[in-house]
Amino acid sequence: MKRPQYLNSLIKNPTNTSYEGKDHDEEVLLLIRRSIITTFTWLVGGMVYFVTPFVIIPIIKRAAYDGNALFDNFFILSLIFFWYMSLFGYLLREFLDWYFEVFLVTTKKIIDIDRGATNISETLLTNVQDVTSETPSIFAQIFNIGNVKIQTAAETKEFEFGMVDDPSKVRDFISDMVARKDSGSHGIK
Amino acid sequence: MELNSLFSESMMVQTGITIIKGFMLIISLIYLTYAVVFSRRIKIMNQNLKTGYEKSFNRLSKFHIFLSLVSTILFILSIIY
Repeated sequence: MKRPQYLNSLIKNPTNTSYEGKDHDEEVLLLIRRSIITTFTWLVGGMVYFVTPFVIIPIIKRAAYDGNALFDNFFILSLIFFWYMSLFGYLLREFLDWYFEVFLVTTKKIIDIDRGATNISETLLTNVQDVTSETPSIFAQIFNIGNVKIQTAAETKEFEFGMVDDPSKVRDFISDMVARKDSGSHGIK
Repeated sequence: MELNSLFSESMMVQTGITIIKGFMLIISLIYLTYAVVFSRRIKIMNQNLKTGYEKSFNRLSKFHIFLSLVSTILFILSIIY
């Protein structure tokens, strides 16, 4: 089954993707996002969150004083509602943090949009000096995910993007882009 | 004396339950504030990275605020009744 494009970690020439401050003659060539495998931790967290009331609520229901239940059904219902509403909020936040933490390569720049899209760094492609990829752990090697580091001559010396799918492919793409920029052409085939 | 003691004990239990309900109400109010702040953050996210899903994310965020509001109302009602 083919994964929808918006869930991919590496998207070439992404459609409908732009960033604040993009020039008219600038084109987004590559969008890199953390691997979808990294969402595993919060998905497991979400599952634990989901099943917790099945354990807690019967205990609360059983709590009694002098033969009468301590908490009425309406309060318990409110608790359950609050719990699942906050689960929804938790999953929404985690998903959006994953979705909006991206690395963009355009025809002019490299833009690093960090967690929550609140911390943004950018550098010109011409400032890129060195691109490195690494697969640091056994886990990363199993799933072929890793980090990509970009050394620049700009004020922000290093751009690092962690846990991307196929880091060596990403490194190669960025290096090619820099080389093409130097030779005056752009676009990924 | 014994009756008085029993009365006081049941009063304490009732007070404890009300405190727990009040605590949950405060938590839900804090959560509602968080949901509103989070909605602002989503707007900033959408502004910084335009993806074509802005409307969906805004709708989800509004739905989240609505659910938080319903939750707060439910806790208020559970204290009143």
